[in-house]
Amino acid sequence: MKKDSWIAIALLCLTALTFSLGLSVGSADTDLSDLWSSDVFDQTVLFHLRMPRLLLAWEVGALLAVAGSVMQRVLNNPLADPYILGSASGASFGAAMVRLAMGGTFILLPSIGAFIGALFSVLLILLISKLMGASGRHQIILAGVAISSFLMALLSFIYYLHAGDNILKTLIFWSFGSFEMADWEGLFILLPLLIASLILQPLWHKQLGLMLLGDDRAMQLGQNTTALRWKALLFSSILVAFCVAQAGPIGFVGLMVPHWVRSLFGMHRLSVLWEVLIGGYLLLAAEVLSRFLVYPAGLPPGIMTAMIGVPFFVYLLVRKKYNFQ
Amino acid sequence: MLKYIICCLLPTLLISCHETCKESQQESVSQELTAVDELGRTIHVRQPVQRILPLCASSEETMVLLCDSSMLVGRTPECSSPTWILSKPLVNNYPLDMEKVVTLKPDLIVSKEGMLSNDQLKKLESLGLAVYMQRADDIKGIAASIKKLGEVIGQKDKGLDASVKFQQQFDSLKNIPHASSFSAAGIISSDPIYVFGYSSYLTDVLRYCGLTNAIDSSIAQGFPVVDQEYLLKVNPDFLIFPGEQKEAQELFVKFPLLKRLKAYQLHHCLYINGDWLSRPGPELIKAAIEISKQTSLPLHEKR
Repeated sequence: MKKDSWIAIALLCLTALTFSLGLSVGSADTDLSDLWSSDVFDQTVLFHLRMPRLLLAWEVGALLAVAGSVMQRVLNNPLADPYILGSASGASFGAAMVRLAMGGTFILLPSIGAFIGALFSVLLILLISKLMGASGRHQIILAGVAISSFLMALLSFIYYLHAGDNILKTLIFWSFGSFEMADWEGLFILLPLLIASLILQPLWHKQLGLMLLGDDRAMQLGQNTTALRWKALLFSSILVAFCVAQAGPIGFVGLMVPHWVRSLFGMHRLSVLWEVLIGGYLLLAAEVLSRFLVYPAGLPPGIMTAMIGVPFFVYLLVRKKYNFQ
Repeated sequence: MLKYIICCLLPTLLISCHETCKESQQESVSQELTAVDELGRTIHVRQPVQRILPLCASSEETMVLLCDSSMLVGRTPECSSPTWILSKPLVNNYPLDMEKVVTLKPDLIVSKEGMLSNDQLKKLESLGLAVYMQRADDIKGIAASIKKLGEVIGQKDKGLDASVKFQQQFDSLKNIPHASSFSAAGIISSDPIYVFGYSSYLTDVLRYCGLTNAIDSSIAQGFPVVDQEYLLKVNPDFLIFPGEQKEAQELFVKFPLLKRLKAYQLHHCLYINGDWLSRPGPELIKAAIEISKQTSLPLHEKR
């Protein structure tokens, strides 16, 4: 067997092990041995709280890694991440507006607001870049930074206006990301997206590879760069919008995991499998570790991923002499 | 000629001004009270205290007990009781409107732990303003704080009376028969689930009402975030919500699994005025009376 296959098997085993550990960690004294228990409390804790939470962490990590990889390649920019087109700020703004307008009783509305906000900001950026007369990567990135800053300013204004209110805590906590609201329905919503990623990314592999040569070279080689860019950006933005709606904006995974994969395994048609495995594992491990560190509610996943991931990323940059292209 | 007169007069004027300032400074130094606030900070308060600015609602309610309404020179957006306080100038506390604070020239600013940062305290001190910080861990602490503030503002007797009365009201709750071994959790907000921790003053309030805080001492924070799993584990007999039913509705809609809690199933959700519950000051007794009423034995058995 090839070395990569062994690594993949090891990673799958590690994921299974971490998942089992995650099932045993929490405020309640329930652990893995209670999996077959007939006790209603144990069943509730394991099947309705811990399992959906861990699976959601894994799914969101996998999807954000895929979205980040597509964004980096299609924009030919190593700093591009799933939130570069303002998805995070759009989502935060959408969720905040819905919360302020409707209060907290309508449970699904903030998620819907986040989804609409994320998609709207992406469409707005693509539209602006088109109005600028070009859909080049630089225009898209600049428009993304501008709209993102504008939405963040609006959000800060909302925070400022509600500085003493309870809702501020809710809005700020939402912006850290959380898997606490995980349920089986949410997991099934993300599943088709994961399957679509596993199919589409290998299909686009060659075209996305050409984009790394630069727009001019890619066009010379027959690539319709504008069409591919729109397609790929819309697809990754939909992934991000669904992830944000389920778990809030979680940074770092989409930026770092594609770099890890490229530096460790190179770029090939099946890179997406590595992105899914590593992205999923990173968030899963972050979620489990956070429960060990802070009792009882754990730390927000965004904080944990940066704490785990940055040292490893620096190691890759220094020791592996990693280069984006 | 005019220049000559000005040249002669100006130094004389400056010297006399300087002397006057020195005298007034010496006078003020001699009329200063040195006290240690509840955070252990040494403060110097000009006497007699005539202008007081409370920078949080519980401090405002405490000062209302101890001084005349004319002595309170401002209020924060949260200060709402008694209603006459609304006629006082508004001072923003989040973020702190430093300029407004200085404009009101208070002899004493009163606030509580966590409401002002160290930087803000240093800044206020550097502006020559005395800040007394309160700290409320339990009922005895709140009573002691009322008494101490009375001393600081020169109303020793009023402070002592108010403090004793406050403590007596709580002590009288112990005479009401309560079922033993019931636990309660005080919910502050539903998303994220913030609760009154074991080290918060609510633990003591519940103790006077014959209840225990379901949030155990293993969580160090006064107002921690907990998850659904934790609440299901501690499974309180009563859930206490601030204000109307809205917060409870939000909690159970957002986290439907919490409907399995004993408190939900037995309709043991108490809705206590949020201002009374969240302010560790004299009004806290009203929250305690309400909790006691709703959990005391006869009513509880009826339920």
